[in-house]
Amino acid sequence: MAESIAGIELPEGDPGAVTAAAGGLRSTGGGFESARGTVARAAASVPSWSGHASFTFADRCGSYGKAAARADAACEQVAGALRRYEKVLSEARGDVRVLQRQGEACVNEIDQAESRAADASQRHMTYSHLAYQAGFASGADAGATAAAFRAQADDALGERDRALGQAERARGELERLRDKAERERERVRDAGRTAAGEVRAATGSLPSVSWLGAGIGGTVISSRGETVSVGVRILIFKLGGSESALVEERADGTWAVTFADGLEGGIEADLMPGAETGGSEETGRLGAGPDLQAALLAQYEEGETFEFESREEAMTFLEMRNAGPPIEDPYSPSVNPTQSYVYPSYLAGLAAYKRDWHWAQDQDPEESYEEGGIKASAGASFDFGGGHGAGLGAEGSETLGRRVDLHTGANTVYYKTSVSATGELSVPGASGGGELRGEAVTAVTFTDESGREPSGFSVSSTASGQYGGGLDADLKYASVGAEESESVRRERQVQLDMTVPANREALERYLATGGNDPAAVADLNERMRESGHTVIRTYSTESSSNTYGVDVKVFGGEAGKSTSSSQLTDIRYRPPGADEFIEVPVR
Amino acid sequence: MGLAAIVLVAACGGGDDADGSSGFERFEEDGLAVEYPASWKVDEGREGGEAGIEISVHGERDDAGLFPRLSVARQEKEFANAGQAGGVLASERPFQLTDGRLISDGKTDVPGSDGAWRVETRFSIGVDGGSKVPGRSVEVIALKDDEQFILTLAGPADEIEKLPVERIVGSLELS
Repeated sequence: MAESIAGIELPEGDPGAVTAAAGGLRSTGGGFESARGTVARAAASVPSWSGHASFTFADRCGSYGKAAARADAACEQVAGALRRYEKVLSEARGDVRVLQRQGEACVNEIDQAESRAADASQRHMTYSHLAYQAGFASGADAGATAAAFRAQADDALGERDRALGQAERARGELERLRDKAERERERVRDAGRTAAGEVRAATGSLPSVSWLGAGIGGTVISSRGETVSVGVRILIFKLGGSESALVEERADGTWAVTFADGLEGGIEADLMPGAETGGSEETGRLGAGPDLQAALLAQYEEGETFEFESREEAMTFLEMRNAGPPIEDPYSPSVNPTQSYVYPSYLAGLAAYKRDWHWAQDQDPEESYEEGGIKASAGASFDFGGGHGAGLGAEGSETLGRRVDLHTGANTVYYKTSVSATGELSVPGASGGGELRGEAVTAVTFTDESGREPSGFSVSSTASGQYGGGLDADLKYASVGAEESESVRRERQVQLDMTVPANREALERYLATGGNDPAAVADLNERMRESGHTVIRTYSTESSSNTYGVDVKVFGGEAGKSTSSSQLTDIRYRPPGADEFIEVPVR
Repeated sequence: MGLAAIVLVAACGGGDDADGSSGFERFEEDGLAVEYPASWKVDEGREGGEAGIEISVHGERDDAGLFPRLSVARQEKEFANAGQAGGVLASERPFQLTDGRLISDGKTDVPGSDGAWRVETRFSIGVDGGSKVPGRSVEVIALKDDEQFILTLAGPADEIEKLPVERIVGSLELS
């Protein structure tokens, strides 16, 4: 709500916040860790900067951090727009404050003049009445007395008119001040719209990729002491039956709670399938890059993810979601048949429980997972009665599952694929000794707007070091994640911009042939080499436990297995067409 | 759950083969209608399940012991529009089916639906002895209100080619 004095409203906005936001965007160029929060604050500091422009910029800049020079330039461009907006906002608010003080004086003047006019009008009435009465008197000076009263009545009338005139002039001045203030407000709105336009322009220069580093885009982080470190912290709670819950901290400070059916098998098993430790058969890992983790979750029967502002909220949600419903009426005969007195302290506790329980039940998920693919693929429709019975069950490549973003309606399908020793897609079974045993996941996204056309594509891979048993130090050939030792793992993610027609066409051919056509695979690999955004993440684990990156706690008294954790120690990014990787600072 | 109604809707010809020349049965239930060759057998055991199969019928076995199958599934809607549903289905099937290849996909018309997409795929069917038989599927995914319907007509390619595919697939109606 704008501050209003004498009907004059200050232009909305907080110059200090805008300045801080602009400064934050500039500093984003020196450290990616706060990019998303910084961009969100920047977006919130400009009232006109909302809707598409805000979201697009936040998504792109926040998801890009400082890793690319183009993102830096765009962030700087937006910071400049913010500074110009802040200057106009600051000046206008100063000017309008002066107008407010002048307007306040006008209001006082109007009040005083109207008060004087009312007094004068009353005197005029009084003297006119006295003059009238004096006209009936018979004294020698009766006429003079009446004339004197009439003169005083006339004086009062004149004074009333002067006061009314003064009030009218003050009103006119006040109106002028208000008009001037409105023009100032409009000037600020124009500046806001201009800033928003510059944001849109800057956004257009940003590459359309999702977050390349840890944190944004699904990788979780943890904070230890005063140092913000990029690592992994996941708590797993067994809820009973085959249902488990994951609680994760994300880079933007939010917390996610995911319910997944069948996940308790993943607790007991190694969450690094493909490694030598005899892990589970599922592809993907908890605490890994966004696609690998989502692919893992998507393989379970079904699941949902909820997002919260704090750990406390997340834990309250988890507790309340699985708690019994509250007693609605403590004097209900069914729960209190003897009608015993219910102590106020109990009622207070019950009220808090009811509030939390209903709040938990009212939460809506942000994502859902479904194993396999479209449900009709479950075999019932592809049983033709003979031999092996079904056409289902491709060798090598297969649909792992699907994630639905319930806010945007985007569907992302995860496929298990094969990669060559150099980290590129390969035709299953056709790569000879060069094929890695590790996990490789492709993710194809279909959004609401684009409908039939895929809007996103990425390949994430990590492996157990079949190729040479280690990594070259300069990452020249480190296009595939590999396990350097028990405590170091690397994963590679390549994303293709689907707005590029050649990329989209290559992906279409790849999908249409189920990843089994060598020519289509070669074409897509070519596009990824020429146009792909490549990220390599290196994780260090603090434990040699089979349970990777997971802080296991079991809800309900059953002992956990491991408390190991992992830390993202290195991120490198290679823009399309570049030869070298850019090192993204991690602290 | 309404009662399913299966009626003989046409008898045009005296043959008794599986190509539909002996007439068609019409399945109607809870706003879903589809027609299939009258000689086909209903697989009640395949109805329901996670896939939400409403009807599953199949034709006579061929020399390799294989038959074509028609099924229609009713599920909770998972897609924003028919194009998105078609995109997912068209990209999933080649990965799910052995030697899967997408033949074509595109918008189609299903009376009563909010939108529909047709996807055709070829693939291989494994048979005893390790050999493979070419297979073909024609699928339609149609959205209506909060539900999605998936019609799948699939089987050995040579058997599918003998069928009045357009007659069967085009009979899908929602109300």
